[in-house]
Amino acid sequence: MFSLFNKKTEVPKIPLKVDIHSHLLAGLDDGVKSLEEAIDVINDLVEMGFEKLVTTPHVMNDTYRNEPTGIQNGLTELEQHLANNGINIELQAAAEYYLDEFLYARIINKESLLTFGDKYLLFETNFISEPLQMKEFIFQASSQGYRLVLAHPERYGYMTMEKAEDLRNRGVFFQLNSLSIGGMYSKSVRKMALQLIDKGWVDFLGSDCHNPVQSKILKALQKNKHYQRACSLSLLNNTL
Amino acid sequence: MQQQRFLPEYVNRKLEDFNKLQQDRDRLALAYNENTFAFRQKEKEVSLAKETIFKQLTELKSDWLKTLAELRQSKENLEKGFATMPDKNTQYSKNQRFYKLYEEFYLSMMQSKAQFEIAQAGNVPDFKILSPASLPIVPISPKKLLILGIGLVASFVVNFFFLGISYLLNNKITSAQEVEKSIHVPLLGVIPTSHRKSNSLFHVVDNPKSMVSESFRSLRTNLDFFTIGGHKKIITVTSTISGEGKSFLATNLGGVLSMSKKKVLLIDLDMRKQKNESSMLALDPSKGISTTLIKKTTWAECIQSTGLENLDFLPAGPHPPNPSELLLNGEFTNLLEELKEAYDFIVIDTPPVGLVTDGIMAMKRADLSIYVLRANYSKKEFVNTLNRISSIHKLTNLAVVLNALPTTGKTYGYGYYEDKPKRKGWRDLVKI
Repeated sequence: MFSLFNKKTEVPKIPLKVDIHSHLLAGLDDGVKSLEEAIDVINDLVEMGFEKLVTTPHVMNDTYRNEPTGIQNGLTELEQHLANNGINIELQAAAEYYLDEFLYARIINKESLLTFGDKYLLFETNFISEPLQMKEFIFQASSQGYRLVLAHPERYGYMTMEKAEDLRNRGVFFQLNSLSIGGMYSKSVRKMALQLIDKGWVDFLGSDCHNPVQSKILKALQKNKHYQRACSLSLLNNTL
Repeated sequence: MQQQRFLPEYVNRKLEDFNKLQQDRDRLALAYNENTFAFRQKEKEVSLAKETIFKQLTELKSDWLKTLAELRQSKENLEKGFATMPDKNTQYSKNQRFYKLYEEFYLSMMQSKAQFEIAQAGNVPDFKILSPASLPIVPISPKKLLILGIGLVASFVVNFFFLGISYLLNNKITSAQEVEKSIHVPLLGVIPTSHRKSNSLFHVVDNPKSMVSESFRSLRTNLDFFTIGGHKKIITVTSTISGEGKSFLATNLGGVLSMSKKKVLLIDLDMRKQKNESSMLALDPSKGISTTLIKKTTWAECIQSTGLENLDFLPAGPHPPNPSELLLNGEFTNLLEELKEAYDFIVIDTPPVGLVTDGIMAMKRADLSIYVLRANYSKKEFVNTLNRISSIHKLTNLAVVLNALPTTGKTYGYGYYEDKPKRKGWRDLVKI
C-alpha cells in the first residue's frame, strides 16, 4: 500500500558526475568511429551533468587486442582534441575486459591490468553461458586486491537473480547499463535491470555508450522514473 | 229554452240569463206600465244582455269559421298524402323485410352466445391455482452454460490428450537443462542456432560478432578450463548419428582456436563418407589420412591450407576398405604423436560413434572428446549411448556440447552483437 503512495513522491534527482563505462576511443573497438563522434558523445554527456568519464575500450583476445599503451595513446589523442575544441571534462581510461582464458591467464600471471578508482576492474563475459572459470577468476582477482566490477549483469543470458546473489556474495560489484533501463537491448534485459534496481543490487551506473545515437537516447532517459530510481540508490559513481 | 249542446257553457248560461230576464220583463209588463221606471230598467237589462250574447255569438261564429277553414286545409293535405300511400307501403314492407332479417340474425347470435355460455359454464374446472405459473426468461434449450462447460472440459481433455501424445512422441533433446540433468559428463557449452548463412565453412571468421561466434569463443574459454595442465591438446568431436553438427563444430572450433594465435590442425577422420565440407577444403582428394596410415604418403604431404592463418586441414583421403583396422594399428598413435609436436591443438572430426567404432579409437587417444547433441534433433536415448560409451571404454575426458539451441528471450537483441537487426528499442524509449 505504502509503495503506491511513495511512487508519487518525486525521487530526488542526484545527477551522476562520473561515468565508468564507455567506448570513446576511436578505432580501438566497436565504439565511436572518429574523434568527431567522440566529441559529439562527450558533449551529450557533459550536458547530462557528467564531470568525469572513465572510458573503457574492449579488451578481447580475438577482436580487440588493446594494450595499456595503445589505450593511453588513444586517450591522449582524445584529450588533445577535446582541448582544441574547448571542452573541459576529466578523462580517464581503463578497459572492459572480456573474461576468457586469456584474461584468466593474465590474472594468474599477475600481469598489470587497467583499473579505475580504487583498483576497480571492469569485466564482462560472453552473453550465452557462464564461463567455467568465472568463480576461480573472481577468487584469483579478488585475492590480488582487484575489486571486480561486472559490466551489465542484466544483459547476460545465463544471469538469474540467484546467480546475481551468489556473485554479490563473492564480492563482485554490479555496473548496470543505463540503456538497459530504457529497454534498448531487449525486454527481458530491461526486466532484469529493473529487478536488480528493485533489489538495490546496483553499485555503478554506466552509459556503455558506443555512439552518438546511444548518447541521445541516454539524454532522453534522464526523465525516466526507473532511471531516477536507480540514481537514488547508493551508487559508487560519484565517489570516484 | 232548450240548451244548445254545441254552444260553449258560458254562452248557454248567458242565454238562460237572458231568457229569465225576458220572462221577468214580460211579467213586469203585465203589472206595470211600459213607461215605468222599473219596466224600463228591465228593458234596458234585456237589451244589454241581448247585445252581449250577440257579440259573443258573433265572436264564436268567426272562430268556428276560422276553424273550419283550417280543417279544410288539413283535409286537403290529408287527401294529398293519401295519394302517396301505396308507395309508402312498399317502402315499409321492404324495411320490414330487412328488419326481420336482422332480427333473425341477432336472435341466432344470441342463441349461439347462450349456447356458448352454457357450454362454458359446464366446463368450469374443479382445481385451484395455488401459485401462478412462472414464465422463464431464458430458453430451456439450448443450455448455454452446460454447452460451455462441456466444451471447456472437452478442450482440457483434448489438450491434455494431445500434450500427452506429443510428450510421448517427442523424444528429442530440447534444452540445456535436460542435457545437464541426464548426463554424467560436463556440458561444455551451448551453440545457438544461427540466423545468418555463412559463405565459407568458418562461421566464426565470417561473422565474428554473431552469437554463434560468441558461443564458440566461450567454448574455447571453457575448453581451456577443462584441459588445464595439459600441454598438447587433442580434441575429438563426435556424435551419435550424422547430422548433429560434428563437422560444423570441429571446423569452427578449429577456427576459433586458430584465432587465438595457436597452431591448429583439423583432421577429418571420417574415411567412410565423402563430405561436402572436406571436398570444399581438400584440393587433392587422392591424399589424406587414409593414405598416410598405410604409409603411402606422409602427413606433411597431405596437409591442406584452409585459408586461415594457423589452421591446417588433414583430409580423410580416399575411402579405404578397412577404416577401423587402419585406426587400430599403431600407425595412428604414432601419427598423433608426431602431429602433437607440430601443432598446439589437433581437432579431429570423427565418424558418428553410434554407427561405427572409428570414433572410439580416436576418443581413447584424445585429451578431450566433445560429444555433440543437437537440440530438437538428437533423441533422448542418445544420452544413453553417450553414457554407455563412456563407461565401457572408460572415457573420462568427455564433454557435451549442445548444438543449434533455438534462441529465446534474453539471448535476443544484443546491442553490439549483430545477430538481430535493431528492433523497437528506439521507439520504446520515446514512450517512457
